[in-house]
Amino acid sequence: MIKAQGVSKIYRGGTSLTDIDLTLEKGRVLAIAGTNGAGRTTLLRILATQLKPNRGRIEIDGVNAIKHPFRVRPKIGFVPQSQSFYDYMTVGEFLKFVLYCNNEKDRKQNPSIPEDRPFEELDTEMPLRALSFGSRQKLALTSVLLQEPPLLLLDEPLTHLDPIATVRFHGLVRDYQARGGTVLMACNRASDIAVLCDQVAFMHEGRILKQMKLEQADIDICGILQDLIETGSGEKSGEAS
Amino acid sequence: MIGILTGKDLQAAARNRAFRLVMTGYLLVFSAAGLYFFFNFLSPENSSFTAASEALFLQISVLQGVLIAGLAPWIILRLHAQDLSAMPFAGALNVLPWRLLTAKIAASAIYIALLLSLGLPFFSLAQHMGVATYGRIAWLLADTFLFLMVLILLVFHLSMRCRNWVLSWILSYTALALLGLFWSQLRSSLNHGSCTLILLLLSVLFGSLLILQGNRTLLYEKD
Repeated sequence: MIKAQGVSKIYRGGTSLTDIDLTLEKGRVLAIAGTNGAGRTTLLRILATQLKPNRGRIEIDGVNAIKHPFRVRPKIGFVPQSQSFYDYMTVGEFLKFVLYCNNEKDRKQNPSIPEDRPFEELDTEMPLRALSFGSRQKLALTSVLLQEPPLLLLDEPLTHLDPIATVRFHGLVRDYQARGGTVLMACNRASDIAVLCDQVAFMHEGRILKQMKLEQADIDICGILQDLIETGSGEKSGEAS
Repeated sequence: MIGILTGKDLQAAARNRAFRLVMTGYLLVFSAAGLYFFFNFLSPENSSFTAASEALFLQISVLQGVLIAGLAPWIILRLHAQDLSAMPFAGALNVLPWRLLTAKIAASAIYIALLLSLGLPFFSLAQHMGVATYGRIAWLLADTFLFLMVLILLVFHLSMRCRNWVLSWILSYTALALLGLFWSQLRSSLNHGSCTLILLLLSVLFGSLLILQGNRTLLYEKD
């Protein structure tokens, strides 16, 4: 589903990503864990075709994402870390607007918001400026899940969610994966990674230190990350032990 | 698609409290000044009807032009900043940038036409009193509309290129001053028809450049 090779991003202030190689097969859930400022958000923005890398090649579902961003965008549901909504809209208007803009099928018929949508407790009449951080997060997740894209890119999706919403989010991701969806998310919480993910990649200072499969429920994210930083591991894949 | 995006931009204006306040202020100032001009026109001190009516027409049209031109950069920079910022939300949408920009130009043209139409009661009154013909009023409004469209397109160009919002405000109002100077020079040296044609050509040129440039600039976030 995702094949990134040698992806690098250089900002004016310095390098953010260096030679990122990443592969994610269809139907898998990959977490990217890492230190603060490791470049996880930049990587997600590049994969979501919102930022252009300086070097490298990215294929999403077999399409060159750098050359054809608009052919790739309908395949991606991206939830950034901080949401910048149109605050004058209501929840219902926003969901309809996003469905209309992002979904070719909905463009032809007037889009409607299903009753059984994720996080249905969000009042469709509520103005967006009145939403809490958690509700904004729920709305962002709802807006991408309603579109049913084949790939979800989520940047710290659980940061503002309450415990009940977190458990519901776990269920939503598992259902999505069961329907063949692929998920790549930036996440540092071991408990969420253990429940949701079958792979994890560790990032530090703009590099992926290791990408590995999760074979067991318990994973010591902090310990593995510290070991990798100390040893400066160049190993790219393996299995959790 | 462009219709839906235009509707979104018009909705943004209609629901923006600052925008509504400023529009009310514009209406009050323009109405008060217009009434003042009419009282002056009707005062018995005016001996020459032709000179007084020419002065009245000029006063109303200049006042309206100056007020709207002063507001236009503010409208663009305030209402469209989010879509043209370093991290445009539209980047997350599957919307081609040229469509987004066409919708913004259409929405801006509607704001401007609406603001100009608020002056129609005064112009109608002026026509009724024999101060100006409908043809002259229509031509003046068309000229003002084209001038404002050129200004708006320049502001869009500047706000898309600038990373710093303070700089984009300063540059936008500098562009307004320079454009105003250019127009006054143009009107003094060319006939009315040529001025209108130049404004029309400039708005088509800037509009086309904006869409071409924006299609590249808004494709990705600014670094």
